[in-house]
Amino acid sequence: MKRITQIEFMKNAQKRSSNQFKKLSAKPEVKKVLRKYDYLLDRHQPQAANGH
Amino acid sequence: MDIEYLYDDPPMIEKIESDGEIALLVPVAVDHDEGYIYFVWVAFSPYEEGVLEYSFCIIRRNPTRDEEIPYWSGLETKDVFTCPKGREFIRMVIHALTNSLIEAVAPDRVYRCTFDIHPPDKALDKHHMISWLFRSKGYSVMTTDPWQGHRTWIMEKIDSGTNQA
Repeated sequence: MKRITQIEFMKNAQKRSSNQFKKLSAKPEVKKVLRKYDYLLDRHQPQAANGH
Repeated sequence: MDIEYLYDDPPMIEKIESDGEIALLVPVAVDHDEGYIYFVWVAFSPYEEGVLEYSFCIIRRNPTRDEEIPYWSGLETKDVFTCPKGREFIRMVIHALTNSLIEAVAPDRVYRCTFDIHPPDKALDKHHMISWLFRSKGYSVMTTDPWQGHRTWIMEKIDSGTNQA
């Protein structure tokens, strides 16, 4: 892979995507999608799929 | 800790678009003892004009408290996903979602950096996988010397077919 020495993008390195996620996860549409899978906890756990 | 990995019958991959960010999300594991659901989240986020930032993380959802915690570092999840097969499965899901995201968005320029400062070689495994995935999709991949301990990459779409895999 080609290496570059001038780090042109670093000036905005503090713009972490983690901040973006914090903003996103508070949005109703994201919460709605996440909540959709809460049923997974109520399922009977299939032993064969455990992976241990 | 008893983790159920969702190897079979994968749930639908969810696409979320908001404020210029495009993310794919899918549940991958359930901790029945602790009451958590784990998701893989892969996203392109606005970074600079003409540049998106690529990122992935694991989200732990606690339905009882209706709250989520994102894990950006493998150091945070190594004690959660202790099963090697499970870790490989999650790696595979990150790969699959990233592949779908690149195909769906086809960005011209993408920036990526490690969350961890001075990540160990093993922690870079997923990033190497991502670099090669972008490469196989027709992108050049440039890396830099570490910046304040972070490793960074810039991927650019190659228009001509001269440098493609």
